[in-house]
Amino acid sequence: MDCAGLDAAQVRNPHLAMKGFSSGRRPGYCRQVQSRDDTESASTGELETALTLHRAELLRFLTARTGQAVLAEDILQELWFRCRGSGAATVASPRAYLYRMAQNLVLDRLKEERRRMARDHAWSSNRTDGHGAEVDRLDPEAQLIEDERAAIFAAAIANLPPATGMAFRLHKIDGLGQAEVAERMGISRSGVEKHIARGRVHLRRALAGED
Amino acid sequence: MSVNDRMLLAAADWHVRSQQDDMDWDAFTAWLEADPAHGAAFDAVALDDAELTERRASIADALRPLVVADNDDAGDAANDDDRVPAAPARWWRWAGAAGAAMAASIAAALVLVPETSPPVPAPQQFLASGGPKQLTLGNGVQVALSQGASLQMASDGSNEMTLKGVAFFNVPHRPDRTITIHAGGFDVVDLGTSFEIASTPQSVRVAVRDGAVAVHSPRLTVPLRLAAGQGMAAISGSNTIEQLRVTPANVGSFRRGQLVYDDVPLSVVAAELGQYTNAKVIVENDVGQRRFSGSLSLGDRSALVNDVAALMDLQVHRDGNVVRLADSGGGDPR
Repeated sequence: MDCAGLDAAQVRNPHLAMKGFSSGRRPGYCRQVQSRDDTESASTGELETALTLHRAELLRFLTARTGQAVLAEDILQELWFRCRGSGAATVASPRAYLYRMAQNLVLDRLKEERRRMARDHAWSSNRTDGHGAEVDRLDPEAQLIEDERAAIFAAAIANLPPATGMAFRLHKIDGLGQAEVAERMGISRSGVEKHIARGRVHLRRALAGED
Repeated sequence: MSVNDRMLLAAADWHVRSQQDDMDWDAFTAWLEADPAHGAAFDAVALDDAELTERRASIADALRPLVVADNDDAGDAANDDDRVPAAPARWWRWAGAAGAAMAASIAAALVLVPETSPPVPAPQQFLASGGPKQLTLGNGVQVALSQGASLQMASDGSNEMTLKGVAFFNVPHRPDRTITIHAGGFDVVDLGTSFEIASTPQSVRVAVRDGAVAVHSPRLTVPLRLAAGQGMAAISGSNTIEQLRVTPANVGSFRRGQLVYDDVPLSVVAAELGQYTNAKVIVENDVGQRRFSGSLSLGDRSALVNDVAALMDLQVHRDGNVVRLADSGGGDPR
């Protein structure tokens, strides 16, 4: 399907507004956004302009990020629609904004992929089990997985080195911004970043025992 | 720091910076292009972060009893941790102070929770020498030990124990603790469920009635997750770990005086019968690979082996305390 050929009026759709990046996307996405909206936009959005300008480097980034040229094109296409939908939205740094959007779209794909794998796994284990009726209780199962995963994360976080753990908890669990964490702990912003990054490494390794 | 750690740390650094306006996207692209593994490392970090965000509320709940109030260690922030651990991730690495003690044991496993309330003083070891035994441990875990089984509590807390013999566990769910049972070379990690473990010198079998458990072992490349209706069996000296299907209602059937097996290797069954009969039950080579399905009554223990032999068309040779099961020449009765 060739989405690039659609004109601006065709893809203007309030559902594509920049509110969030995580609304559901499916294959066949292009067809969905062809609903006509006759309010022609007069001005080309700032993001759209920025995207035209940075298209090549974004594609290069997405290719490096996903390791798949086709997927990179696909995500760039999606980015394009979102930008068109954004109208005259203004952001401080359009280029950085586009990169972050691209990052988020990649992450959404990854999450979708992981969910799909989890579903497939559940399905196949149900199917192959000789006592399906006993196994097929999804809600307690889902709760158990939730508890189990939360316990694993909690254990890993609880066992971080003290300062790293404190920075990590304040930022990731209590939701403080990095600047606030820096202030609270009396260390530099880059010190906080360092702790967060280290915390992630510890966490990844703790989770690797479980994945 | 290993290459892997370096890569992960770099990925984590990029991840932190990518949230900011002054992120150097060109340099990030160059880093990604330098090695395909970089992208995979970044994916892992980003997915962890996404999951952490999604589960933040549950994690915060689970974390509450684990973390003492934030202390004034911030001053050490600059130098308390200049590196990530060099050893590969093992649960005891993450177990803090408990890690040192546990590292000494071969079966290193997860103990993640310091007791929030004073631990109930529990005997170090429970033995079911006279007959089956029902226990309720200080942490609320109910255990039915079959005759001859023993349960040894870890000295540093009652959430970790070592089982020899056959036992059924009922672990009420509590968010603040995880139960780990060492059985042979396997660690069964549980959060709230009921299951049976049969641990003999020759075999380990796990069957889950309810909920799910994770089984950790150096013999497994990744932990094995067993849900209700699933089980596993391993025989010492064999590299194969078999996944079993079990009928949940039959898990822990020894408690009602029955042993119910469903398509379990005869070598595993024989090893477990040895536990019940205080004999050593040996199966001749290829006979051990046959599968046994059936129900045995624990009423007359001396008849157990004969019952199996009759059901499986095997010959029984007794030599003192050793019982051999051999092919009678009649072929596989199935």
